[in-house]
Amino acid sequence: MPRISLPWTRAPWIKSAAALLGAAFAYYVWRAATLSITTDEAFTATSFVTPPWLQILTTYDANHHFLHSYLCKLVTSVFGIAPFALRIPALLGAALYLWSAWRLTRTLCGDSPVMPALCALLAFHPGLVDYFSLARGYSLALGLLLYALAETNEQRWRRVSLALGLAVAANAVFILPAATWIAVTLLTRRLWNQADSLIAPGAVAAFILMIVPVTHATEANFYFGAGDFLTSMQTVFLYPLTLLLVLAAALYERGRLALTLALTLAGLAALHFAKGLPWPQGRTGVYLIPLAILLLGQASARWRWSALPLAAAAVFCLATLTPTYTREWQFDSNNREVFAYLQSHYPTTPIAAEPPLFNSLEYYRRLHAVTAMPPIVKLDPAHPAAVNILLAPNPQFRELTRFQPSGVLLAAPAK
Amino acid sequence: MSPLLALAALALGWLALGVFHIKLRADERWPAALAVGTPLLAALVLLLVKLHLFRRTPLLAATAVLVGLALWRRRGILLEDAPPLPRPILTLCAIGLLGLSAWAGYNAFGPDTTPPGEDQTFAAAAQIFRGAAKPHWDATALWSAAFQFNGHAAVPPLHAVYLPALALAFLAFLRRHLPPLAAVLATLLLATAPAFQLFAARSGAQLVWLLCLFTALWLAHLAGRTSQPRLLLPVLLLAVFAAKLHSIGGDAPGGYLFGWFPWLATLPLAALLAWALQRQPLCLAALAAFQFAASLPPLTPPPQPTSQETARFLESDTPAHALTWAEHPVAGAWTTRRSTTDPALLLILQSAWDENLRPARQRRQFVTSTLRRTFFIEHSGRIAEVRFYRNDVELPRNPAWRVRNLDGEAAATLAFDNSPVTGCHCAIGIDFGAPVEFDEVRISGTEGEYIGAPKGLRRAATLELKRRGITHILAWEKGTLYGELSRNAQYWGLREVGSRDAAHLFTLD
Repeated sequence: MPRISLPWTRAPWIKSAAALLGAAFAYYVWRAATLSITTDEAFTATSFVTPPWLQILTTYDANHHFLHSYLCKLVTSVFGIAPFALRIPALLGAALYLWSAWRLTRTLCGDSPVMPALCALLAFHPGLVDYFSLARGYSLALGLLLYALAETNEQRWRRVSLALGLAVAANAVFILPAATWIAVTLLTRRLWNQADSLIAPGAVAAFILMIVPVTHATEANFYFGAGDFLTSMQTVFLYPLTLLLVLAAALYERGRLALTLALTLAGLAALHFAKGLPWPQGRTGVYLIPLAILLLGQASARWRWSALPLAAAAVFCLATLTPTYTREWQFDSNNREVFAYLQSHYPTTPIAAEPPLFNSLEYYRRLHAVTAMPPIVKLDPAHPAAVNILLAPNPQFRELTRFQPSGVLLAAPAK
Repeated sequence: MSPLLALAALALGWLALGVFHIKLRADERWPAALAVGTPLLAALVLLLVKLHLFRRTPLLAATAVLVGLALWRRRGILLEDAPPLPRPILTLCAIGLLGLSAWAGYNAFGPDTTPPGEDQTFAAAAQIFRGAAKPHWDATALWSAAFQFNGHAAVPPLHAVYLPALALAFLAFLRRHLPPLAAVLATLLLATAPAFQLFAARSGAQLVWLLCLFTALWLAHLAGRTSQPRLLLPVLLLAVFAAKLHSIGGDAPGGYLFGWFPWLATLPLAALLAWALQRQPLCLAALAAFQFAASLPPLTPPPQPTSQETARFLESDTPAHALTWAEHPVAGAWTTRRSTTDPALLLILQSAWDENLRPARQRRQFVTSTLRRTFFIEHSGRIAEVRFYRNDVELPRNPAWRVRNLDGEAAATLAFDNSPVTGCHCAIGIDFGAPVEFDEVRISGTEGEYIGAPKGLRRAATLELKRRGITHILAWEKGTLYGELSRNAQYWGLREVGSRDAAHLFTLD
């Protein structure tokens, strides 16, 4: 990829891309401040942030994104356990992601209309956008992955290695793209004498941050994923057309990004067939999206009118944004209102919630230290509580009130 | 006071290396001298025992004389020119190694943590100190000398000295091959290894063995590199001494970094890491710091002090000549009574009552009645006894028969000893020495047609144990044996003579 020496302040498209990414970050911050806590975030908070350090270090679960959990622990020890404080590490990851996206696209496209279109795709792709505002390790890992890619262009190998190692520590599913990027860089640039700089810092950082909890992992912990390749790719890329475009771009470009994507998919296949690990599903394959977008950008940079379809795709992404809820956890979008309602109407009533809602509601109960309210428990249909929170209508229950857009309803037993 | 013995070893080694005009770098002299002096000190202890001077005062006097001689001959070891460690790296090395040595020493001065079952050297040294045994030219000689200073408590501090010695030997080796900072950091990586930290606080002899073995290899390498064939003399001494120590065993967690490998691999792995990361000193430093932090509580629970309660129980409740079979190892250094956990004896006891091991079945194998010189029995379950018949009359066993275990556990001869409680899980090959004729083989054991277990199996097991010198059995309430032994003590021919906490002591009538 050629380096651009033009000062960015005198390049209109580069400036507009920067403004677009700034707006994207403002959007992430606004969402982080306004979205209700999601089930997975609540589980992270109660299992890997609020417990003592020893418990955090000696517990393993697929939900435990180590580096992210440690950062959350540090941040919440200063700012408390409120949702926004919990999401600060993810926002830092998002900032790193956007800055790295700007650097990468600038190097890739220069001052051309393709650059803001690519930036918009990277910032607002529906498969990515939710994670930048949620307290999960994906944002941090994505930021570090793109930072490593940007630093590769600068040939700062220790930084590349460290960023990839930290990305893996932030989310273990990034181990495949990280390893393949290092392998591809080593192979294609013939960096044999720099192998230690490119491998050691990241490997050591990931080892130190991960090894203690990973030693407590069992095979049963690796449960989340898709059963077959096509379902997996559909959940990751959302639209089958994207997959075809990526394939075409890879065949056309045949560079490092294409090789990285191919080797990553080969690694996933090997893990699936040799170890029985599931294929990535949605967020566990999230790293494929920015790699694919960059690959599309790289392939289309040679085509004169490439900005048009890319801009159209970006507009489509912007049009499909759902600011008030997240695609994967739509049922969680009213958790804050549900809890406020419960607090005002049923302050001392036993409450049960359908899984996985009880995690988020119990998080709010603990956050507001509502000691008068009994703990919100998992709903047992055979023994419902006085007030029950359901994901969908159920003939066994009488609806009391309903919340939108989650569709969650409060209900009492019918008899 | 016992670490003074290390000073004696250092002085002896210094003198020995000086005698042979060995040429070493300044920082190579100290660990090499301590390593070479260790077998010589063991020999000195044997000499003092021979001269009936094996007491604290002669040991101190000998140490003083040796240190004086070494000071007098301090230039005996020739110096090879080498650049000194840069001052900041030297400071890092000094602070790191002194700190780690102080930590190891602090742990070594605490309660004994040597696990029962891994304390053979310690137990043997205790016996030597009490005059119940003679020392050999191995670690028992060193540890029994340590006993002269402050009993049991004197041994771990002496062993702890070998941790910095090993680290310095490793550093000296690496300095010839790696940049100074990488060599120092790799040394700290080695010294922080949880296995070595744990060994340094125990009374085993693992670090002595490792120092001797490593120094032998290192000096052999130096002999070639610096063209000093004279160095092969100390190499030979160290190699022989290391061979004498080779069965020290020992088990310790390798920690998070080396945990997938046996502790012996820690040293070569640390060297490999140092080589691979020689241009990445921050990585080496981070690994060493992490390894040390992770080996401390609360991530790693502290080693538990060795329980001496059972040892004291045996001491008070068994006679001096007693030999106890114990279900779990007993801290041998803390009692004068002998004990064993031989699993073969447990098998004998279990075969008397355990449904899966009782010889209650018989296989009858009919063969063509011809003259044969050899016969083979396939591996099938536990074989208690094998008998050959001709026309329903048993062939008398003959001392000329040669029996071999072809595949499996235990000696095949146990299937020919007329004891139903002994046997083997094996395939057996029999050479009759001369042609014999038989038409049937009866194999009693755990396979074949059920014929019922012979009567008096429990008593037979007790007699077998007695025949092997066992006088007592120590069983724990949560163990596999206690319930059976206490319920049917009269059938076993056992009598419970005492109990302490959950341990019950039975005597064989």
